[in-house]
Amino acid sequence: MNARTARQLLRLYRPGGEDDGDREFRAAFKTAGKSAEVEAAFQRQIAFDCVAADRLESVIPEVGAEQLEGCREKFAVRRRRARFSIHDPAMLAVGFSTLVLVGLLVWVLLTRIGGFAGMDEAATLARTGDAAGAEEYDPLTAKAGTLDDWFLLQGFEGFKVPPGFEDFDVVGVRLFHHEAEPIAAVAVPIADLPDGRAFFYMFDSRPLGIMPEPEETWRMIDYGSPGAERVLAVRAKGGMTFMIASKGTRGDMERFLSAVEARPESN
Amino acid sequence: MAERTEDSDFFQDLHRFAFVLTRNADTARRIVTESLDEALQRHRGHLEHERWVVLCFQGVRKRALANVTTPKPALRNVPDELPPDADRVLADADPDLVLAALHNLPEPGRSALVVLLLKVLDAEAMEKMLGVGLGELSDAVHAARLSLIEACRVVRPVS
Repeated sequence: MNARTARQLLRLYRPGGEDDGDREFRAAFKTAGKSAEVEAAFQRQIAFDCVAADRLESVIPEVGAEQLEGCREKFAVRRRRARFSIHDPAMLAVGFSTLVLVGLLVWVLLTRIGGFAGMDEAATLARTGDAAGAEEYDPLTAKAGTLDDWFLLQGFEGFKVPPGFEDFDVVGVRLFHHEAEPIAAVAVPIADLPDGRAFFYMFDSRPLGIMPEPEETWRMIDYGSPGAERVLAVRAKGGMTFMIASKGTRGDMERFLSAVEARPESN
Repeated sequence: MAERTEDSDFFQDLHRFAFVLTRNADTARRIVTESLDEALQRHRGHLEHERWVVLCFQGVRKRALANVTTPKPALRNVPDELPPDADRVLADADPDLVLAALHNLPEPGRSALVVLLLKVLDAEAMEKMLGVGLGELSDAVHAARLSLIEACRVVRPVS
């Protein structure tokens, strides 16, 4: 601390020694101690302040106990009110933490409720299947409900689309392997979905662990990215899992499925 | 800052400060009550005790000075140091004269010197209460001391 700042601060020193423990004042004392002149001026100031304070105290009347009690009561009310005030930073922190915790719990619950075993694997499978080029599909003009024989000839047993999907026109089929498990894939033009097409996938539920529950209930998975949304509708029955993969959002898929359920014979 | 945090000390300090600024006990009681009420109304939620202290002292000062004419600083070319007989001048002065002389000091030196002599606020709290920086506050307090000495010297009883 320089001499000027020390002198400025020392002029604000309280004569009763209340500031002796203050770090800034201790630094100022140290600086003042290096100059006999400054030290003398400071001692003169203390002597003056002590006398002035005594003179002042002698003329100040005592404050009535009743008046002080009234003040205490006012502040007691304030303290009770402030103790639970939402403006209290501590209360705000507690409230915020509670909200985050509750939000986390809700998110976990919703995830568990909306999720099922093998969700991530289903999305991976869909990405693998979607990446196939058109040349990898065998061109085939048929109804989706008649493909069981074609797949059986390829060695895949048990292909069956859910009710309402039998009459969808098919433009291509393929059988590929994912994690060494055979996957039946079908390319289907669907005007009601974004991009005008979708892929059906069917496979044995257990080896890949993709087992949406309860049976015969559609479960949704978003597996695209912002700006390139993709959605997967998954359901299982009798140990076989059926998936519909398409561009779009859950809303798009839900509207499509609702329309199929409402008009199961439609294409 | 504001070490005297016990309520009783705090309320006593407010009253003493108000009395010195107004020289009237009834007025002091009234403005302390009004200042507390105002502070409670303006800040219904949590506020650190130190901020409450400054807020209440500000309220008392504002009310005390509302009807008081604040003289302009009379001293020019203020000396850096107090005169050698500073304490003796005050010791010889009548306490009521000291109070009257304090009352007639210019602001913000008057309020600053009063809280300093009453030992109720530290330097940091004084700065906040008065809204001035360390340099201005220090100069004001020093000038107030010199003005008080000169006021008391003028009417010093002849020995």
